[in-house]
Amino acid sequence: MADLKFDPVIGLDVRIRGDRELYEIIAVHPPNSTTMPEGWESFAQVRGEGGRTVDLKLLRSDSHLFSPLQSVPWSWLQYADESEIWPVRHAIEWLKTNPDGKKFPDYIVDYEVEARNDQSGNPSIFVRFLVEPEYFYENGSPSKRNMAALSEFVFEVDQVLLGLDLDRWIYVQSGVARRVLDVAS
Amino acid sequence: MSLAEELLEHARFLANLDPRVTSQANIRRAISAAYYAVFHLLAAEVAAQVSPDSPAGLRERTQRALDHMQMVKVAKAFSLEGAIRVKDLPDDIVLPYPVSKELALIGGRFRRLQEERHAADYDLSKHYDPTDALNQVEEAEEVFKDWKIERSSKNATVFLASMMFGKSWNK
Repeated sequence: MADLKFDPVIGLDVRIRGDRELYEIIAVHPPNSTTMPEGWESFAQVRGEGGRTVDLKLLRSDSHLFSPLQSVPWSWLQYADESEIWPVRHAIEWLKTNPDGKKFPDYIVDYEVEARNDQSGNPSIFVRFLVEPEYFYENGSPSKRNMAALSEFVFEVDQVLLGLDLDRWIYVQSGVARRVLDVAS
Repeated sequence: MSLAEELLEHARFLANLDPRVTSQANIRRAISAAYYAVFHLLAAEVAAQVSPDSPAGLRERTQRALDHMQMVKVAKAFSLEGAIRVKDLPDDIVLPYPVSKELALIGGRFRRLQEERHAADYDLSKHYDPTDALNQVEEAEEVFKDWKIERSSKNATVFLASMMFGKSWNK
């Protein structure tokens, strides 16, 4: 899973590590296409970085008083709290492409991602995969084989999300998809 | 039969009640019992590792001193397969081997089971399907199986000791 990489996206809210301010990405530059601001280049070299850079706009009511930050190394950024769901969704969508030949189970019809505290107060991200009983069940009850496969899949997702190092607790769960008919009744 | 095994059997019984007539209470109790089965499985192992069984009651008292939050922190720390360093371990305690898949599975399942237990016991806004209980029982059963493989490993010794003492190690 080490090849999982996220591309910077215009419009994404981020923070610079060690800085509380919230920024929006307004431009993305490919590797080595821009000159870093004076003083940053040597710092980046020391850190062995030469990757993509982005331009950032400060998100504050008085942001018009500040010039955008230019050519900030992507690796210096972290996702803003509000957008930490985004890399999780991105990872799951990536898993849907069946990377490394691993099949995304076809009885999973949807998933939900929610950022909230867990019962102990730890900032967490909850992912719940919803399974369609018609495909998940055999003879009216959940198939042992499918449950084991789902459990293995949940583990794989858990490992991918833990590997993102999001500084949040990760909970990957599963549940039965509620049918429209059930909700209506 | 140990208390952990009894609780697992109880969880299995409740989860397998006829889905046409079972109740939210049965489902919620099944989810809760699945967690406590795993909790007592690991708690008994911790106590056996850190405390003699004589005089009578000493080991049980030791087991009673375990803290759910500390245990889940350790479970989280050991959740990443292949990790060679785990969070909150002092520098002088080095894992003999990378975290195995079995131990990572146990860590992940303990986290999920505890969270689901809490929701099943207190979150009235949730509606549970009988499948939810079956899933949690399956998770608990898998912990029992994986623990049989993992319990004799050198990493298991660190895992168990961290559950009891991890909070005090970094003083």
